[in-house]
Amino acid sequence: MTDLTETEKRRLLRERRQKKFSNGGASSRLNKITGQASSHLNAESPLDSPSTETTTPVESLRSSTPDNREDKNTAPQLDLLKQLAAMQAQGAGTDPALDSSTPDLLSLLSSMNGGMPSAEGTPSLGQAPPLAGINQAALDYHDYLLNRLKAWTILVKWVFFLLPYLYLITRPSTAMWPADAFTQSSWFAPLRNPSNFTRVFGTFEFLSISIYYQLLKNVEHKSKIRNLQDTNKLVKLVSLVPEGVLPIPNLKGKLVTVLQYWDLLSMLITDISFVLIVLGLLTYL
Amino acid sequence: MDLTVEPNLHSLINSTTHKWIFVGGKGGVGKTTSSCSIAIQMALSQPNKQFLLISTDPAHNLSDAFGEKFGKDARKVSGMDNLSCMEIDPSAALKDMNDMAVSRANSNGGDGQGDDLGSMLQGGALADLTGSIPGIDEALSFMEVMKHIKRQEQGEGETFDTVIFDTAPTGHTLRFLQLPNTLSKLLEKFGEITNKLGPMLNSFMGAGNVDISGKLNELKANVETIRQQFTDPDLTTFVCVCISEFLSLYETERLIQELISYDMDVNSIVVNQLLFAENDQEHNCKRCQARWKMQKKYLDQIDELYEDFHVIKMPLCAGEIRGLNNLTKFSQFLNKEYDPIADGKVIYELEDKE
Repeated sequence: MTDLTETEKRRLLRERRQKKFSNGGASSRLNKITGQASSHLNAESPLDSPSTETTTPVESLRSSTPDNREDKNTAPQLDLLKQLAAMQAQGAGTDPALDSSTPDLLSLLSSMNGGMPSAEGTPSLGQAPPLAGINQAALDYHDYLLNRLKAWTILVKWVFFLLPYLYLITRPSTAMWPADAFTQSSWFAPLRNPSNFTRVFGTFEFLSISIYYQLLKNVEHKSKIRNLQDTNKLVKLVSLVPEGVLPIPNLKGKLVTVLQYWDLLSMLITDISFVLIVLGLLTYL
Repeated sequence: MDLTVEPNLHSLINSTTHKWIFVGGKGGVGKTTSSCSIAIQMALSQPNKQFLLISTDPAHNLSDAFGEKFGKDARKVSGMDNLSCMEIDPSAALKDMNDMAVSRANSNGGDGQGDDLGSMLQGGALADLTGSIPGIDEALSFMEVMKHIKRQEQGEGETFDTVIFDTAPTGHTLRFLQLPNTLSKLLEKFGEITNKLGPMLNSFMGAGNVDISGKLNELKANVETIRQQFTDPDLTTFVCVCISEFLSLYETERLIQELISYDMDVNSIVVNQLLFAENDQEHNCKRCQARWKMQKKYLDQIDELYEDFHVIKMPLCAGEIRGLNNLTKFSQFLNKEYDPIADGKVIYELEDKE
């Protein structure tokens, strides 16, 4: 048997060590440590969690979106770096002696400033700013889900309820309505009465908007993107303003609330517009 | 084929290839004592080489460990010709940067802009501004590594053959070690933009000013060099320090796994503060017995989990391990493993540092 050189021995040992940590070995080691001490500490290994593989936009988002709790510190940090870079730009290159003594740190900080927002796949330790980790594919996927939800909501609301309802109250005696027990029942009677329009329409709007928001939550949960917080340009701009600069506390939160009410109002206005247009058309038919 | 691993750091201490040695672990496990001990042993065994011990922990302990003041510039340890120490001080380094920015701004005074900027920075605005940035300690430590490599390449100033890092507790250290990878990616993306906008940016900056693309490329090359060196097991290794307790063992295992995920070499674990109570007939109280029993339980687990690692078992000494003499006495057990029977008396021989 041949004697191993020190380098070969180190290499072989290194390979042996790496083997023990691969194929789920890393997590089972942590499990062993926590198990023997009856601990509840996390036994999921960084080596076993997929870091680069991205199968769906949501998967990639899950691995790249930084934790919200860490985001709170990064916006001011980015802002500070921006100011630092601006100072560097003003003072750079005037004195070669000074310049050669400090370029690295200033370049490092300025490059961090410029590069951070576009970093992808960097773990939370990289301190990426809010949304830096949400990639375009994930946003596109979220938009697709949102647009699909909106399209279905409008289809169901307008085609399956508002249109028949408006036709019913404007043409109550038409032969189109089936003369079955249900449509002729006393339960159905208030619907046929045009004087109940406001109550019926209000109830319907309340129910449909509630269902829409519930479905929107499901979409947000599925895509891991909060609709207004993460996608609205105005919210993004406001989130760049460091806390304390403006006299209004939690400006972003307040803006999101206002935008949510505006969203709700715009849905109501759209439905009222639809009703008015249909009623207008029906008067000519 | 003999693949047994020695329970000491003899091969590392006598290594002629290693340039960067990181010593890290959970807070309070003896990282500074271990890093000082490694540095001393290396300096003693290779007297013709120069060693630098850098503390990257914001709460510096090197000065207290050696009993003499070290600052942001490397200074030789009294009594050792080939070992220097330095403590990276973010506030001092940032103050220097601020002063330089002030003098730059003042030299720009002719255009009126300089006066405003200069007066703004007079109060240390830049230092205040950057001092509050999370991760600035890691960035400054990283700068030291870059400066060191630059000096070695250009053959300027004092150069060191091996740099030993007394690191901050695990989280900071991992952030520091991740910087080359993160920066590499960022610069790659930033480079794509500046390649397109470079000429325009340069023309904005005016003739004779900074060549942004050139600077970025230089920085990128430096970062890439560091990244390559940090992942080369012949040049860089990480020594984990722990104590024989659950939380420390758990954090050590996580640290090792993180390091492996960064492609960094880690093959040594120093287990500190062991009581070896059964071999100490003279001082063998009930509490020591109970604690040693607990330590042995985790030691068994360490032996089982890390059979391919150098596991160095260090004793808990009766006194504080401070000052060069005490550190030298203690550090010998890194080079040749501690034998509780033969070496037991050493743990009571440490001098008092009053």
